[in-house]
Amino acid sequence: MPSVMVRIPSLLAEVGDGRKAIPVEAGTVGGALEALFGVLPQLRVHVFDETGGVRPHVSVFHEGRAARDREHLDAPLSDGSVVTILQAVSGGSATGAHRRRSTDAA
Amino acid sequence: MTTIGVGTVKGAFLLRSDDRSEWALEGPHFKGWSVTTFGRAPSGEHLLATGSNWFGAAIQRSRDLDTWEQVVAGPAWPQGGDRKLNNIWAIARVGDVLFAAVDEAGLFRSEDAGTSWQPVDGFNEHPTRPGWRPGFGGLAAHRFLSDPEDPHRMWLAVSAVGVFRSEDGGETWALRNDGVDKTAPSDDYDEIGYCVHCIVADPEDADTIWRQDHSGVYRTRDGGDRWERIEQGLPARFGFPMVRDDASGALFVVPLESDEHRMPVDGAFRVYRSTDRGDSWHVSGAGQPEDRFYAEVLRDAAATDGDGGVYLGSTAGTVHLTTDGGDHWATLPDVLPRILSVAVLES
Repeated sequence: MPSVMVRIPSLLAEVGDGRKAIPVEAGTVGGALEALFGVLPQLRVHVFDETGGVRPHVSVFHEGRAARDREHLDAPLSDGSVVTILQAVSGGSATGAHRRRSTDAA
Repeated sequence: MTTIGVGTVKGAFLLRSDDRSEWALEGPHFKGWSVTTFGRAPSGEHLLATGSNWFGAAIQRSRDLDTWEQVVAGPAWPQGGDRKLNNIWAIARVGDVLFAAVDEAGLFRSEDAGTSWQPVDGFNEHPTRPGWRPGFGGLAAHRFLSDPEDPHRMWLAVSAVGVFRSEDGGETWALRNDGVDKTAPSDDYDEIGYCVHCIVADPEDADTIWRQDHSGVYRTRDGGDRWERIEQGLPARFGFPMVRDDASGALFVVPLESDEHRMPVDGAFRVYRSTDRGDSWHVSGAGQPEDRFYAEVLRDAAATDGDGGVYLGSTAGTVHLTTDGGDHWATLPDVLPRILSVAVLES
């Protein structure tokens, strides 16, 4: 199984164990995420939503491509691969406007 | 030691004081996360809820308010459904059971000190649910009260739906809003459409509940069967928070100029107090900000310590407090991010 690195943003490190790069062994992008959740199970709900897919304002990148659908989550990894989880710029505006209101009191 | 938790859109701050005069600021914990509410488990562990536009909501817990761990099996809607867990707005305890009230409106319970959570179907699948619609602040279940004398009686506030009451420990729920003006009427369900902002219980008489609603300020003396307006002396009906100082019995609200403007009337930040159980209201004491102040206090950003302490956090990030039941107010010098929640964690 290839040894790969999963990089996570500061907010996830804050609710993880403080690390922003977690080494795992995985053969695919989706497998790397599952391996990450094996180490830090609390991160699953922050990456995937109730649909079972990657959250709308979260991006998972591998080799410059966003892995959102099953095809990309099945993309193979090799030794030294890096999978990066990012908070998308969209989360703070535009479609994020509705969600932002949800943190205001009624 | 008094410890106040202040939840902001960018993390949780702790205010600590030995004398409630000099305060030390700690934090932020969960930097970058919204902190929407605080709670306490039967085990004594502290709880708080984090939220994020990007990463969703979760419950965190701590024994020492310093080291935190996230609850892995927190409140969650079923996979594959169309409901989203946007925020967790209340964590309340009834005996050994914890309840979490959430947006998108729902109620969850935990019987293992917050380690795992189960949906309260009697509320979550209420017959009127198809008619529930979000207000400006979302479709949020946000205030949970229980009867100290009868743990089977409980109340849950949901905007923009109304106040629900259960008499059987949460198995079934009935809307209890007669006398309140509707602000979001439903074409299909006559009993919903009330935009409740906050409810506060009388700890000595569970049937007396005070209510800051979108449409005004109300009181019930029969557990919600009938509500009456109590607005004498207020400069405006609109507002969000409402708290009660259990030492004096005084009630506090922060009126805002209409639902359209949502700012302190004439730019004057004023906390109003009632010392006659809501019959009348007056500006509370001295020491409130003299300069113009156009920020507001949100629903969950007010708390009391049971000993004359009232703590308010504004959307401008300022913290206002009194320790003598509202006779004298002070504003702390630190300015925090927009404040969503305030709670007394230790006193």
